[in-house]
Amino acid sequence: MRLLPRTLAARMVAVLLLGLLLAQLLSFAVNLFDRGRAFYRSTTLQAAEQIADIANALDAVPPEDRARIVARLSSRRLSVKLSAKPDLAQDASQKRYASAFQALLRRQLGPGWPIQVIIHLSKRSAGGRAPFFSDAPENALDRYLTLQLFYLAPRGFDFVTHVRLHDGSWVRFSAPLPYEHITRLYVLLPKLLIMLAIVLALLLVAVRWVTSPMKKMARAALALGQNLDRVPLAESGPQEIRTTARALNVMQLRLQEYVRERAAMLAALSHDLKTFITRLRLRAELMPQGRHRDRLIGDLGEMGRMVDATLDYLHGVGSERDWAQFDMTALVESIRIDGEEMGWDVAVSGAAREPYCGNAQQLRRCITNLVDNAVKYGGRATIRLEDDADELTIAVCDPGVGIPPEERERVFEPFYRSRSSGHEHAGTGLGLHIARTIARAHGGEVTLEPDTASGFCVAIRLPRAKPPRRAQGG
Amino acid sequence: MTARILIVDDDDGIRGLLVEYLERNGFRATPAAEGRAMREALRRSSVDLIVLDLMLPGEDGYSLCRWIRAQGDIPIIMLTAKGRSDERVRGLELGADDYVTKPFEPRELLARIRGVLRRAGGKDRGAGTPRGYSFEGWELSLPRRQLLSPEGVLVPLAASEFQLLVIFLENAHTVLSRDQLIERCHGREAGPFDRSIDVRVSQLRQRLGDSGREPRLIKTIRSAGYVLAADVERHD
Repeated sequence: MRLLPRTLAARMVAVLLLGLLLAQLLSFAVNLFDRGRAFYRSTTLQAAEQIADIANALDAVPPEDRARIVARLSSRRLSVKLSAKPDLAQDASQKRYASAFQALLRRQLGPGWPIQVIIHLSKRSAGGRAPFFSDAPENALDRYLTLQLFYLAPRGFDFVTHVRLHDGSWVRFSAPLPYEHITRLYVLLPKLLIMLAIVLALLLVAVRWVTSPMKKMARAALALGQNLDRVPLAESGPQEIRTTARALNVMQLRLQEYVRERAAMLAALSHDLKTFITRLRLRAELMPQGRHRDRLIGDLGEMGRMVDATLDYLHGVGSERDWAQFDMTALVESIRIDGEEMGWDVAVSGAAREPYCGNAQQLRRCITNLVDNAVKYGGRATIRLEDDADELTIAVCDPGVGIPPEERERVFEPFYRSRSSGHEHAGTGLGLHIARTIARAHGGEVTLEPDTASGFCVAIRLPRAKPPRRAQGG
Repeated sequence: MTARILIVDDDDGIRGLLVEYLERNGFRATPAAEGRAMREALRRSSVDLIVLDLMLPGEDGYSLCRWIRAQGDIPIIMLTAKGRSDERVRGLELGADDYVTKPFEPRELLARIRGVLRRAGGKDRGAGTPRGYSFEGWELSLPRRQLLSPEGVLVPLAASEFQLLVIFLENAHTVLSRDQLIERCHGREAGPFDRSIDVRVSQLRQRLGDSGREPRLIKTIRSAGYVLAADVERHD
């Protein structure tokens, strides 16, 4: 399972959301504790003041009047009773709160009042589960929470305070401390969700700002790979994007320059080469007949073909603009007939059922290259056409020994010449490479199929459906 | 009468060698190194055909070709190192009659020169070599060497099929004998090849979707030859 989302946008959203959620939780916790503490303080302070007032008042009246007054003063918020000497036992876990309350009360009463405070669990929710404030904390965490946060406990509790009056009698006060409702999260939830939604929407906008130029950049870089003369990128948007766009545009300019220079150099070179070959060819024609003259003419022909093939290779395959519906059967037949004119032994079987959409001229070169190889190395070529709904296959087979297995991938490399060919005219080493390049430009492939019934075959497989455009820009 | 060929090429070697080669093969050849020399040569004497290089110092071959076409209809063969098909199409669309790329087979050039001269001499040339023909919904573009079917599908043709089709289109409704066809295709007398012309014709019929049993376009005239039985429109 992958935890990290794939896209930058998703990652940013994930990270920011996570941060937001953490911040929310943290501030929620801080608020909660703060609120709890404040509430606790004010309640205990109020209770302590009341107890101090009542204790002072009771101290001032004669003991016989006290019972009557106590009955009047007792309320739901504070019950007051005259009592005997209290039992001093107190659970250690609640001692902290008890002694804190005792200190608070002592500040209110002033010195000279013996006080004892213990905490009683309130009976109200005794049936419910009390995770924090239990009689006997079960483990370290429980104990910690009980000690630190028990004013947040889902159970209320009472401060039971005994105060000894100056005449030695005791008064028992019991102040219930209403508990805080922290379980009412569902009230907060819709607010939290609305906030999240707003932040998420803003987040998406921000992330789009960052990532949409990135996507545009990626598309532009890709398009640059397809077409060097594409319109330069607009240098606008945030500064980082502008800088990147400018860098990309500069790179495009450099590449254009480089390609132009290379093309100019090649054009000049090939023009000169062709001029020399033409001169030599004419000279050869004017020479007296003979064995050497024929050889010379043969070599010059080979040279011319090499120059042409190299230029073809460098010129690359044209664009889809030149694609048209054409009759593949007629194309293959015309290659056979042109071959026959040159004395090649070529046979054709099968037919294309429907016109094919592509660059007929390029595909003619593609197939001719394979036929040329087959005739050169195998003596004759058989072209087999197979057509079905999704693929048009043109297999060029020859009865020769084919290509040894260890060379089968390398023969597609430009300028690779098979060492085993041992042929007088070994060719340019470009035929198969150009054939494959053309097939790939049509979304197809050239593959080797050794040991078929028709001998060694090289198959051009062309998809019938228009190839899915590999994210190319227009 | 021997034909006079004007050779326009800036390369001294090629120019000189071509003159020698053509003279050896029964032509009269005049060299010119660039546009000015060409105009000068044209003013001095009549020329039957111009072999024109495209890359010339000063005014280039395309521009000279346009100029020659504006003057008249002297046949032009472009002879150039620019071999890409779009360059070829451009040359032919400017009105060149043929296009030969360097390096070339000298015999091939001879054959082209003879072919163009024959076409130029045989018929009233009117507006020169047409750009194409249409017949029965088919369209043939000469510069692009492209045959377009009535359904708009390209039908690639072998060089010999193309040549044969052009001969038929030039002579629509005219019966052509095997000998005539062979001579026009190969520029030679009928010989042991005279059977292959029947094969070529039947191939061409296939390309045109013309059934062998009941051909509609190219009909066989028993013991006479073949005839293209279609109205041909010429595009200039």
